Parts: sequence; C-alpha cells; structure tokens
Amino acid sequence: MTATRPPEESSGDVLLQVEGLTKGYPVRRTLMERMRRAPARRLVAVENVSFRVRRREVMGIVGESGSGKTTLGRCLIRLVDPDAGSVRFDGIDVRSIEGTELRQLRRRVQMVFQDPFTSLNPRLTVGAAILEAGKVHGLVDAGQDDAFVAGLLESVGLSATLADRRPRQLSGGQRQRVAIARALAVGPDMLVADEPVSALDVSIQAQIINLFRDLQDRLGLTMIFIAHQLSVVSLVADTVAVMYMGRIVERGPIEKVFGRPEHPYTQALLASRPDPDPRHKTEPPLRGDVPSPLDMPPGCKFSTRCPFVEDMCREAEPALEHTESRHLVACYVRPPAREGGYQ
Amino acid sequence: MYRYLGRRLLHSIPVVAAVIVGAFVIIVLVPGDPALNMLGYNATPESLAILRRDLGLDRSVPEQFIGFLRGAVVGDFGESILKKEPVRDVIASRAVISFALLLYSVVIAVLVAVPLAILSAVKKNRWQDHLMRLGSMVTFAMPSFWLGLLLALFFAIRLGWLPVAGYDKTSVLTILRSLTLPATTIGLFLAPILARTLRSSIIEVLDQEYVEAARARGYRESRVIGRHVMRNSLIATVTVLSLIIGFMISGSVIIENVFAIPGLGSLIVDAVLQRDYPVIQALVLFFGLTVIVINLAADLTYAAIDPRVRLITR
Repeated sequence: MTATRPPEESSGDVLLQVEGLTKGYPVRRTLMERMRRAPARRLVAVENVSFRVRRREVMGIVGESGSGKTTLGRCLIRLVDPDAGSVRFDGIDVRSIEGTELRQLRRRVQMVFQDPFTSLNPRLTVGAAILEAGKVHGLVDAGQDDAFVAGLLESVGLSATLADRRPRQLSGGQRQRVAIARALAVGPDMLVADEPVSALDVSIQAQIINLFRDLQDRLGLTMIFIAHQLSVVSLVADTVAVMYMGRIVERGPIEKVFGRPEHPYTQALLASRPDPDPRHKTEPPLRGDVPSPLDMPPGCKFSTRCPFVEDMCREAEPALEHTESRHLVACYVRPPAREGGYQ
Repeated sequence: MYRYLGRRLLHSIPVVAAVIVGAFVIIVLVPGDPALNMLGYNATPESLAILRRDLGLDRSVPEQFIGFLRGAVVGDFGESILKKEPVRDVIASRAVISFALLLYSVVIAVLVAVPLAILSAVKKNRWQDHLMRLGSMVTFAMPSFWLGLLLALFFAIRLGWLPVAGYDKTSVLTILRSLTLPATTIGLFLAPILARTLRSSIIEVLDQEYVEAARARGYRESRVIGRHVMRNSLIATVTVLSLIIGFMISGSVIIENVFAIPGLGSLIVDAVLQRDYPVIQALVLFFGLTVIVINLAADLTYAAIDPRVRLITR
C-alpha cells in the first residue's frame, strides 16, 4: 500500500508500544459455588499481548468474535483498565496517567466504534456532536462553528447540509462517516477503528474502507484497524496481528502473514474465507468450536482444534518467535507455509 | 400525531361527562334538605326558601342539571354561601396559592432527586446506591402529614428558622418562607419516586455506546453525565412527574391543612365541613378536570417522544 513500510521490529519511529498487556474479568460465582468456596474464576480476554505501531502505520487486528480484539482496543485509551503490562503512547505511560493527561491522551487516540446506530447520541444533531468534540478541546476558532463542522463533514465525504440532521435521519454509511468526522474533530494522531464496517451493508463497506485509506493518505494518521474480515484488513493494513483466545498467534507485515501464513490458525482463517465460485467446494478447514474462555486448554490454546497438534503443544504455551521470513509466529510445529492468496 | 390527539380527546369526553354528573349529583344525593343542612335548624322558613331558590332547588332535577351544566360551561357556579363571593373568585384566589405550592414542591423534589439518582446510578450496587434506595423507601413509606409534623417540629419549633404554619402574604419572601415547609414535605414525598425512575433510566443510558464514545473523545465525566446521559434519561422522568402531579393534588389537601395554607386543599375541607355546596361542586369539577388535562398532556408527550405509542393504541 504505502511505500514507507519499515521492516518489522526495527527501531523506527514508534508511536505506540504495548508490552505484555493482560486483561481479565472476574466471573461472578453462583451462590452454590460461593457456598462451596470454589475459587473465583477469571475470564481472560487479553493475555500477554505485545506489539508496536509506528507513525503512519496501519496495523490490522483480526480474529473471531471473543478473541479479545475489542478489549485490546479499549485498553489502549483506558476505556477498560488493563490488569498487567504496559502501554506507551508517544512516550507517555498510559496506565499511570489520570485527569487532564488522560483526557489529552484520549483526544490524541480516537476510537471509531462498530455500530454507528448506537455510537451516536440520538439527541444531538450531526453538527452539534462534531462541534462539541472540537470545542471541548479548544480547536474551534471564535465565529467559525459552521465552517468547522462543514469542513469535517466534507472531509468524510458528506454534504455540509447534513449538519442539522439527527442520527435517525441518516443511513448506516452516513452515520459511520459522521462518527469518523466526530473522531477527526479533536485532531487525533491515531485512530482505533473497532470493526468499523461490520455493521454496514457490503456495498457501503467498500466506501467506508476507501474513506479510511483516503484519510490515512491525506492526514498521515496512525491506525489500528480491528476486524474479523480478513479481506477488509488486507485492504487497509500495513501490518497485521492475528488473535486467538486473547493471544496474538501471528504478527508481521501483511504480505507475509496473509501471503505465507505459518500459524495453523492463520492458515485456516485464510482458507475459510468465502469463495464466490460455487464450483469450488471446500472442506471446512477446522473442526470443533472455540473452547470456553472460562475453561482454557493448557499449552497452546489452539491445540484442541489444530490439525498439526503434537504432544508438546498440549503442555506449554508457545511464545511468539521470529520465522525465517522475519515475522512472528507462536507455534512449535510451524507447518509448511501455504500460499495465503492475498497480495 | 393529530389522529392520536383526536382519538385521545374523544376518549376523555365520557370521563369529563362522568365528572360533571358526579359533581352535580352531590347536591341531589345529600340526605335531607341541603338548604336546611347549610343554614341549620334555627333558620327561618323565609331564609330557607331564599336559599332554595338561589340553589335552584325549587326546580325539577333535569332543570337543575341544565342550569348546572350551563354554569359549568361559563365557569359560573353561583355564590359561596359562606363567603358571599362568587365561587369562581374564591377558587381562583386559592388556586394561585396551591399552584405556587405545587411548583415549589416539584422544584424541591427535582433538586433532591436528580443528584441522588445520578450518584446512585453511577455507584450502582455500591453502598451509596443501597443507602439511597433504602432512604427513598423510608421517606416514601412515611405518611406525609407525619413527615410534615416532624419537619415543623425541627425547623420551626426547635430551630425557629421558618413559620410553623400559616400563610404570610406581605412579600414574596414571606410567601416563600410560609411555603417552604409544606413544599419540602411534598417534595420529599415526590423525590423518591422521581429518583428511582431517574436512576433506572440513567443506568440504561450509561450502558449505551455513545456514552463510552463521549468518554473516548476525552470529555470530562461531568460533561458526559450532564450532557450526554441526563438529556437522554430525563424524558421518562418528565412523564412520570406529570402523572404524579395529578395524584399529588389529593395529597396537597392533607399538607395544606397541616400547615394551614389557604389553598384549594384547605378550601375543600372547609367547604365540606361548612356544607358550602356550590364550592364543593365547583372544586370536584375543577380537580377532576385538572387530573384529566394533566393525564392527557402526559399521554401526548409520550406519543410525541415515542411514535410507537401512537400505533399501539390505535
């Protein structure tokens, strides 16, 4: 996509650095369990996740529902407080700041949410929502209210005449554009887009993806793009992290991870993407369901479904290690890389 | 919307008719001779005859009803027997006081309920929430006349800050002072109902993604709650408030008597005790119509806010 893609893990201009991030949720015990004094259980959403994002880089995060993608995104601006690990944004230790500093961080790292039907306040007009965001952070010059709103609406491809509308008068695609304009109104350095197109019609998805690519080009934004659709991520991202049950199992430049996937899970994901040609009958590459996050298998979390599973996979969890093609994979077996078919 | 309005207006016609008949029937159903009841057994036959004529009792029942109906339409209910003034003027001067008391009570209720509801919702299931819910149950369960007496005992007698009872209309300040204790009593009765409704709607709104989105934009929590949460949770409360106001009109009868406030509530008690039938009739009609109008207004606000209401009741 962009020519300025530095090789993975070189010490470039790192904007966001995440080390060992972990977040679990306590599970409420039933009355019986409390009477039997059963130990309190935790549902681990994100476990020991590390990555770096360089300035102007777009990192994709893929994984199925419940793999911890959303929790990870929310930990970055402390909408959820992580349990362990560190998050550094532009040299700021995100986990230690409060008050003004935290609000300033949130200004710089903006989120775009999945569902534009719920992420916009139904009582506020489009213009009021965008203007408020700019005004709170002192970014609107006196007497320039309308121009500020109009400029942002136009930058996301909407007519300035929509400023007086309320969200319910807009289509899904228009709403998501408004949500993006509202995020841009505070002048962010980074966008965290949490499944920004999965609630939209397929025809609209392409438009919104193009908008993200366009904005990235024009504004030089750094982005984390969370999605469960590989095709969507492959269109916008420079690097990608594949998550399974709260862990990153494979990470690296997109053409390597999607082009020559080495983790069996990534391979299965790529093989299971829908093929529009009905003559190509494909066997589902994986059997069984994702194990319950409350009852995780020991060792590699993918061992219950992995076609290449070996004994050691069930004993200890593999760490992310460099492969010959210089990306990171958490797998002991590393089955022969298959052509992913992307790029 | 206009169809809904028309339908609701149509529905209230029988209710209005029932209230009018009810108000009229009072005088017909009074055991014995109303004139005799009013003037007492020492009255001379001449004065009884005059009163009967004034009340229209010498005419047939249908004739009386037509007369009453005609009077009701133009707001003429004759003269108060006790005060020798037109009933309309008596009610009007009292209604102003009652209305001021009602408004003052609502203001106090809102001032108490809104902060409590916010605290309770934000600290959901923590001790602050439990305390608020327990406290609201206690003040709600307390009979309001007793709460009024307790407040009077403490603030008027022990501390001497406010008058024990009565209505001093020398200036706006003395009026406010006279109304403070009764308004607080009614307000504290209302506040729990408001606080609980508001608490649950705040909790519902706090879960919405746009609230999280507002936080994610780096807004202060005060702005997130004040602008994004409250605006969306107040609607339900406004409706509840309008419904309780109808209910409160009867509650104010007791409180006005406890604190000797010369409003409609004490007027109706006086009128009943003194058998001032024209006043009773007019007040029954007035209270009935007020409740109907307020309920109608509440229904219409609801329909304006939520279009589904218009469809369901079709």
